[in-house]
Parts: sequence; structure tokens; C-alpha cells
Amino acid sequence: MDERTFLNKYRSGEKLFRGVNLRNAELSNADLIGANLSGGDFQGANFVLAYLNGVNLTRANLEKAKLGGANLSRANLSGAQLTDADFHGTILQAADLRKANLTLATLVDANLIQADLRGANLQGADLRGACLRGANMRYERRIYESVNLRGADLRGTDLQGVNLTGADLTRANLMGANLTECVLRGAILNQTNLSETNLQGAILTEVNLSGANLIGSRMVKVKLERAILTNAQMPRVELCDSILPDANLSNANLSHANLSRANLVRAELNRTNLSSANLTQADLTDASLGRTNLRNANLSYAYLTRTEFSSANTIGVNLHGAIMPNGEIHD
Amino acid sequence: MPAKSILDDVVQNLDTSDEVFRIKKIMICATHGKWESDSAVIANTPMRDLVQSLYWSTPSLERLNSILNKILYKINKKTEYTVIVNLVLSQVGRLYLEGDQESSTEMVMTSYQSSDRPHSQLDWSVNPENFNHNPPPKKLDNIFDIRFKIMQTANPLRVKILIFSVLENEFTFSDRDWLQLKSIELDNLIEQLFQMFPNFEDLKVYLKKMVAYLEDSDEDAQVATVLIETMRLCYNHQVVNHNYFQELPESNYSQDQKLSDLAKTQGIDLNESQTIQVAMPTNLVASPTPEISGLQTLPIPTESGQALSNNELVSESSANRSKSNIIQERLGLKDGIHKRVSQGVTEAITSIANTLQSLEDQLDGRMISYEVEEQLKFKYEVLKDFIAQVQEQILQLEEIVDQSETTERQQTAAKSEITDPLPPPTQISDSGGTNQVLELAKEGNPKAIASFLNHLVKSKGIHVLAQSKNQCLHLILESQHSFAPESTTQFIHKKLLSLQLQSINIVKIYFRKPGDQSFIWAQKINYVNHS
Repeated sequence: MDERTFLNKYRSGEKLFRGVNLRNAELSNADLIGANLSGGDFQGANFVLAYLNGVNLTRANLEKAKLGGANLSRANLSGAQLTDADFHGTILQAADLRKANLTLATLVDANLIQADLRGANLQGADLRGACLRGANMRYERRIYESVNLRGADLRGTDLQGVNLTGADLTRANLMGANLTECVLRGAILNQTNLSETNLQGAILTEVNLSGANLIGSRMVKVKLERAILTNAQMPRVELCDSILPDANLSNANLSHANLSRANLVRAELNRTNLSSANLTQADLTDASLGRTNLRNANLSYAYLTRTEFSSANTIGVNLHGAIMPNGEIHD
Repeated sequence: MPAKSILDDVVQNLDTSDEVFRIKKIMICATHGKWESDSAVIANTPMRDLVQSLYWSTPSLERLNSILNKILYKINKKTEYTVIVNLVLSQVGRLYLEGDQESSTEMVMTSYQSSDRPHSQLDWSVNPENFNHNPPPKKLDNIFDIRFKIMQTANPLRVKILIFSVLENEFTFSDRDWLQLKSIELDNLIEQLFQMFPNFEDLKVYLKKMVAYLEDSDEDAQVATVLIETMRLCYNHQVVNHNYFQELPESNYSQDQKLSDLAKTQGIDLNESQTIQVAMPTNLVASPTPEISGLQTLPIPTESGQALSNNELVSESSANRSKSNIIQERLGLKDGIHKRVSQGVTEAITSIANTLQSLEDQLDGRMISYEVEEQLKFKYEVLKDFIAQVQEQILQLEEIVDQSETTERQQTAAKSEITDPLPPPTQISDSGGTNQVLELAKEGNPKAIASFLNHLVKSKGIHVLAQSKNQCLHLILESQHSFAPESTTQFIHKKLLSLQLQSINIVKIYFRKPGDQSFIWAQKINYVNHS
């Protein structure tokens, strides 16, 4: 079927076009609202600025299709093949993208508000400036695998409040992204670039952040229980009031960081660079501080019960009012 | 012979400038965050160190521009230092371009140049020179919220195209433009736009002109409206943060300047929000959806009694202030109302144009089976009829306004004679004694009742259809927005009571979306005539 016959049929009231073959079709600005195009083949088709509200595109092939500026709100794209497709500035609000294959897709400035992305594959996708508030990316055991965002470009992406439990973000670039109140429980963030991100109130329990770049990020009141932060770059990071019990911060760079009132109970701080860090009122009970660099750090009023730091570098450290390992209060 | 490095060249160019002292001063401020006044220190700081530390401490040319402009905004002798800043930008900027020819830094350069470039096709009343008078570089810390807001109400791509057309050149849909557009994110564009227009009003005027000029006007008009409304947030937000001036170290910024600048950039906004605030209580029903109340244009003519009392409100609230303040405020209010009016006109016309367009689309869609000639004939008949009817309605509105003016004048005259204050006229029946439509409505003519109600609820985006049968009045309310049944029914009931209908016992109100057949809700009320 060619574009004209197709559009004429639609205009005359036909809605059912299951499995239609419209490879490389020119359908920019077309109005196909509510059409059933499930299983159709639209590889390389042009849907720029088209109206595709509520269309059914389940298991359709949209590889390399151009969908920039199209309106796909409430469309069903579950299980669709969207590899290398272009969704530049596309409205995908409340769209169903479950188990869709979005590998290498362009989603720059796309509206993905309330989109359902459970089990979607977004490996290497370009999501710069996209808005995903209220989107669902939750991992559900035996039903939806965790979202694959390996190597994805998420610079300036708005992920506020999104549940990314277990997501694989290895080598992803999240520079300047909004991750406020984001749930990243158990997420894989190895070597991820998280510089300049806002992680305020985020839940990062059991997250793997080894070797991640967190320079200039805001991590106030972050939950990092049992998180792995080995070799993470976190100089000058604001971590006040954060919760880090049992976290592994070995070899991490936390110089000049603000850890006041942070909970570091049983945390591993071996060889961690905490020079000039602010640790006032921090709780370091049972923390291990083997060869930790505490030079010029401020540990006033900190809790150091049962903390062993004989091998740490404590030159210029301020321990005023701290509760020392032997239970005495330092003057 | 080894070529001289760009760095050497930049350092040399800056060092040999006549203004080397001021150049260093501003660069020290940018790198050390301190306005150095000790001439010995300035003289002893090598230019090379300054250039290097400035380059390494700022990740992009854009950032550099922002930092330098921020300094410029704070200091005195702006004219002299503008030249200096531009020189530093052009010289140090070369270092950024050298490293990354293809990247967005190039875009930054072109975008700044574009503000100098005259748009020959159009007569922009906003002088392009204005954009270059070094806007305060403001980093938008609520950018995510702004973007979220835009995304919820407009097509992100269209917004980008519109801003791109303002900042760069008209978007041509060529591959080159597409690639360029894809490389800059929306928030980046918003920030650039914000930097380009230090004043919200300028931005508004400019965007409106741009829309008028672009081809796909209908969609773009909507996009522009959304963009204007959201950009207002950037400027308003800035008001809240304005205190940061006070924290400036070494700031020579005087109190007077601060005030005048504040007035310049925010004065109009403040006035406008004032008008909205005072206009709000005069509105008919507490509207359930806030965005609808924003669409309200003028206070309904019949209620102008209350609208006129705006001045009272203002003077009351400012009783303790000086006279000059009151005068200024009134002037501002007048200005604000004037702007509100023109905004209202634009909105009304846009909405009419949109309706016309959708009507045409619907006709096209439904008449597909007819002959072409027949199609055209019917279509244009309908469209012309639509326009004629709209005209008629507007004329009726005018009539009502005239009427209400006379009654109101009479009442104020009476008021000044007797000292007892009269209650302000709130109902159309008080003012429209001789109005033909009203007379018909009172007699129970359903069409007249519908048009009477339409006057009252049009601003809320509701259209009323009426029919009566066996002493029962059926009202169909159509609107894109949803309204609560109780409050709407109550309101309609109250208004109908003012008509003192003799022939009606029961009123049934149905609510639906335009174009739908089924109703979202229906309410029945017993019409009790107390007269």
C-alpha cells in the first residue's frame, strides 16, 4: 500500500491496519490519530510532526524511522522495534514503551512524562534534555527486566522521582541531570559521569558507584546504605545529612567534601582522601579508617566510638568536642 | 619557523592593548572572584597566568561569557568595561574555538553574532542593539521546572524551532538546521533566549512578531503563548532571587540603580500580576481549574462596576504610602490593564481563528463523500455564517457594555446625591433593562437565554445551548475543560433567577466536551421564581 491509499483509507474511517507495510513512507504531518498499526513495518518512514496520538504500534518495526516532533501521547509502542529511531522533541507522554527496543534511539528533548518504560532497552540512546518525570522504569522480578541504559547520553535529563531500581547505567553520561528523589536502589553506576547532577533526596541504597565521577553534584540527604563508592571522584561534594552506613568508600576522593551530620557507621574508609573534609557531628562509629587521609579535616563533635584510625593521616585534624574511641570527649 | 601558538597570540594582543590595566582587573575578578584595587598587584600579575587560569576554570565559551557579563552587571563604568569584556571574550574565546571547531562553542559564537545581524525581512520594533547591551547573565536554577511546564503544554520540537528562529535564523527544515537543532538542548535554548532578552516585555513583543512572520502560524501561536507564559516564570523567579545583589563583595552598585533596574526589568510584571489579582475577585465563579482563570480577558462588562473599583482597592491598600507612590501605582495599573487588554484581544482572536480552523477541518473530514463543488459551496457558506454570527455576538456585547455604562453612571450619580452607599450592580438584569436579548430571555426564549448565558461563561471556555419544552429548560454546556457540576449548576441557577422566568419550572443542565454526543454529567434543578 502506498501513502496515499493508506491515508485515504484512514480518512474514510478505516482504523485497522494491522501488519501494514509502509517502509520508508513519507507521512510527515499526517493525522493518524487512534489508528491500529500494530505489527506494521515502518522502517525508515518519516513521521515528522505527525499526529499519532493513541495509535497502536505494538511490535511494529520503526527502525530508523523519523518521528521528530510527532505526537505519540498515549500511543502503544510496547515491544516495538525502535532501534536508531529519531524521537527528537517527540511527545511520548503516557506512551506505552514496555519492552520496546530503543537501542541507539535519539530521544533528545523528548517528552516522556508518565511513559511506561518497564523492561525497555535504551542502550546507547541519546536522551539529552528529555523529561521523564513520572515515567515508570521499575524492575519487576520475572516480569520486567531492569532498564538497560548502558552508555546512554542522559545529560540534562530530568529524571526527578523516577524509579530506576536495578537499572544498568554503566558508562552512562548523566552530567547535569536532575535525579532529585530518584530511586536508584541497586543500580549499576560503574564509571558513570554524574558530575553536576542534583541527587538531593535520592535513594542510592546498595548502588554500585565505583569509579563514578560525582564532581560538583549535590548529594544532600542521600541514602547510600551499603553502597559501593570505591575510587569515586567526590571532591567538594555536599553530602551533609546523608546516610552511608556500611558503605564502601575506599580509595574515594572526598577532599573538601561536606559530610557534616552524615551517618558513616561501619563505613569502609580505607585510603579514602578526606583531607580538609567537613565531618562535624558525623557518626563514624565502628568505621574503618586504615591509612585514611584526614589532613586538616574537621571532626569536631564527631562520633568516633570504636573507630580505629591509628594509621590515618591526622595532621591538622580538628577533634574539638568529638567522642573519641575510648569514650572520652576530646577538648 | 614554528607557528606562534594561539595562546601566545592572545596574550600578546591583550598585553599590548591600551586598556591592559582594566583587562587584568576584570580577569582577576573572573578568576579570583575579587575586585582588585591595588594597582601593584594588578601590574604584577602576568597576563599569561590570567588567560590560562581563566581558560581552565571555565569549561565553555558560553560560561565565560556568562561570568564576564555577570561581573559587568555589577560594576560601574559599564560602557568602558563593555568594550573590555568584548575584547577579552573575543581573544580568550579563540582558545575555545581552536580546540573544538565543530562543537557547540561555535554555535555560541554564531548565536551571539546573530543578535547583531539585522533581520532584513522584518521590521522588528525591538532594536537588535538592545539585545547586546549586556544582559545580566542569569543561570536559571529552576530550568527543569520550566522545561517540564513547557513539555506539558506544547510540542517540544516546535518550541525549539521557534526559539531557534529567534536566536539563529529562520528554521528551514534543511538537514543542516536539523542537525544544529538536535545538538542544542531545549534548556540551553531557553537560557540563551533568557540572556538575550533581559526584559520580559521585549521578549513577548519579539516572539509575537516572530509568530506572525512564520508560516505555520496556528501551531506556532499556541507554542508562543505557552512559551511566553512559561518564560514569565524565569523572570518572576529572578525577582525572588534579586537579593543576591546585596551579597556582592566590592559592589559599587548603588541603591538607586538597583531600584531603577528592578523597576525596569520587573516593574511591568508586577503591575500585571496586580491587575490579575484585583480582577480575580470580580470573576464569576471560583474556577475549578486555575489555568482557565488565566485565560480570562477583561472583567465581564456587566461587572465593570466592580472592575472600576480597582482604584479603590489599590488606594485602600496603599493608604499609608505617599501620594507619589499612589500615582505611580495607578499609572502602572493603567499600563497593566492596557497590556492585559491587548493580550486578551490576541487570545480572543486566536481562539476564534482556531475554532474557524477546526470547523473547516471538521467540514473537510465529514464532506469527503460529496462532490468537490458542493463541498466548497457548503464549506464556505458555513464559515461565512460562523463569522457573521461571531460579529453579531460582538455587536451585542458592545450594546451590553453601553447599557451597563449608562446604568452605572446613573447609579454613581445617585450615590453621590445620597450618602448611603448602594450595593454595586452585579446582575445583568439591573443594567440591561431595555436590551432586546434580555427581554426575549426573560420571556423564556431559549435562544436568548443561551446567548445571555454565553456572555457570562464565554470567558471560561463554555458554550451554552438551550431548548425549552413543557416548562422545562434544557441547557447543554460544552467545554474542553472540565467543571464541577455543583458550582456550575449553582452559578447558572443564580443567573437564571435574575431573569425571573415565568414559563420555566425545571432546569436540566448537561455537560459535555465539544463534538461529543454523550454527557459527562447532568444536573436537575427546580426553578423557583420568587417574584
